[in-house]
Amino acid sequence: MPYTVPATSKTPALIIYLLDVSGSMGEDLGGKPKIEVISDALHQVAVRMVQRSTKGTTVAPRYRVAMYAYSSQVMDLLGGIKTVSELAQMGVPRLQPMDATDTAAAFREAERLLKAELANLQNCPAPLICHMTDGEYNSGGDPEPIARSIMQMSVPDGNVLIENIFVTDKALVQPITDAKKWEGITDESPLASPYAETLFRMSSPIPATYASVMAEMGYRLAPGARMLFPGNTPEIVELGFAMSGATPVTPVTP
Amino acid sequence: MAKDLTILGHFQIRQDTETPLTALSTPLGTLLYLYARSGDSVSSATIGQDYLTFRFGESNLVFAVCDGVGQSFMGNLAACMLGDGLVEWLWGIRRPADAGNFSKAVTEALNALTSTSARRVAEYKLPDNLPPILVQALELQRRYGSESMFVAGRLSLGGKDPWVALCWLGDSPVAAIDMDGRLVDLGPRGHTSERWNATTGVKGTVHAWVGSAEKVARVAGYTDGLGLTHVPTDPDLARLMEEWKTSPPADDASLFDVRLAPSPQTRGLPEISEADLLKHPVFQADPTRPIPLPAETPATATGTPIPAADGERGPVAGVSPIPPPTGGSVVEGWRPLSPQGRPQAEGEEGGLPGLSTQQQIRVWQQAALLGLTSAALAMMMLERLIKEQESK
Repeated sequence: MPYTVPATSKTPALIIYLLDVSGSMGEDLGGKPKIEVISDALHQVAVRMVQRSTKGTTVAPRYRVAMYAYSSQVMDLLGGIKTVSELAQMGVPRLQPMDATDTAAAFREAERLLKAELANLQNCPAPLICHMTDGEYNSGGDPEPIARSIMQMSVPDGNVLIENIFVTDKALVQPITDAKKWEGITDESPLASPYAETLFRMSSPIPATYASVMAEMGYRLAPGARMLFPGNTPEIVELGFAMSGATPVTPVTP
Repeated sequence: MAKDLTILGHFQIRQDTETPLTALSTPLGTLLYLYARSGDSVSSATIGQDYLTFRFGESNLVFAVCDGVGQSFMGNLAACMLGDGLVEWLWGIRRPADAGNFSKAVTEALNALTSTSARRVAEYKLPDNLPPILVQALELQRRYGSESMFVAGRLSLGGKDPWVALCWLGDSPVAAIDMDGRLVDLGPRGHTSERWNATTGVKGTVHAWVGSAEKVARVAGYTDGLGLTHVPTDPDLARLMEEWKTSPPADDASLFDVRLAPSPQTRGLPEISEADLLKHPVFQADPTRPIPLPAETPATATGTPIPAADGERGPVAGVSPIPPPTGGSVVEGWRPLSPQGRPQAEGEEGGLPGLSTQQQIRVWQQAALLGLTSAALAMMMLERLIKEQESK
């Protein structure tokens, strides 16, 4: 059964964040600049990861995290991969908007990192890339071929997972009204823009084990729905980032 | 207080260090226990989340093995409060009428315990120097509560009607093995979703078993950190001790194991034939192999706890780790149950039922040769049997 290896100190989960910090991230979202909503959501997922890794006051290194911000260039926010224990000490960076949107460059960086790491991850949970953007790329070309190539990379636990948080009100025909009751997107019919369809194709199906962890957090995502979270509310952003920390941490009972 | 409720030993195993497999000779039999922190706890020099405590007198024994839930708030705290609360309560109970009544009584006792434990969770002071993200994570956990799973029991071996009452919540294994080396059918194993929350009380159903102690040769309760899918044999325990010297377990591990009667099967020795080995990987009901137990006809089966008088505690309030026994075996000796179910004192008429004196001599010789018993005990028994044979 794929995606059942738990994130433990000996088999940590690798999570790679690709965060769009283009100029449009300065626009408003629910009364705050999008970039602040993203920073808050990142902070929340870090707290959640720490919570899931804590025994007493000890933070077990169950997760390893890399964080890249991208605009016209890609910036390594953490200075390489950090364990969740190190992240707890460092804190989560607050972001600010830059200029253009070179999404392909960000995925190329993730691919480079995965190629270097994959051999060491054979007993670990399948790595996950969490990509957050608010709009289509305007430099660097189409990211889909690189994303598809990454999705073919695998470890015994399963293929590399990619999720996309699409912070926009133009992605869906009917916006999501209640993130807690939303069951996810299983086909392209609810999508309202070509780039949303591109991101759909760049999104992995939600493994049953992840859906189960999300259910514990009060969400109703259906296994098999895509890891695509489109919307322009803080609740959807929070849902998307919550998914990035949903690798099981205890053995999964079939 | 009745003589048999006098406390001879009360052990609360430390959570901040390792206690290697230790054998303790008591009037009831040989007690084995161990405590090992996970690799994460050892490397970060923090305390373990398991908690092990037990108390014994001349003919009574209570124990609690608690597995604090790591992702709850300070699982070690819940484990500790739960273990101490259970041992105190179990020491005072009379024989429960049946498993159902016992389960209900345990549930009530554990829910009542929250009147003090909830406040301790709320007032628990976090260290000052923690990173803000960790503090936020811990405060989220505090809202959820401090939780622990457990296995616990009371063995009452005095009088004409010796009894055992076992209870468990969560997936920590508990096993009872009869004189023939077979697992007693205790019922289904618990589930990880069953926990005791120090603020809200019992989540799920407390599982329970009550029965006669006459045929029980061994009772073992342990946490899943042992990483075994079967009841631990002595070679298993020896192997784990050896492995953990260089590589601590992935999860906290603790074991309480009382050996009441001599039975190679209860030690799970590899020399025993496959058919006699403990084959059940998990302790689930097996309708094809019921173990007949005497009907439960307790004369005073009320299930009402008898509180122990505070002023009459035994002399041992705590414990420091005891060095492991010397020699090849992890069990130094055995104190067999008499046919009446009462622990047999040395010097009393011994003997293995159903065997001739000559056969018994062979058994003891073989046991000594294989290291299944201490040389001293074997010599004593052999001397007695030879004298017995000569006098015939």
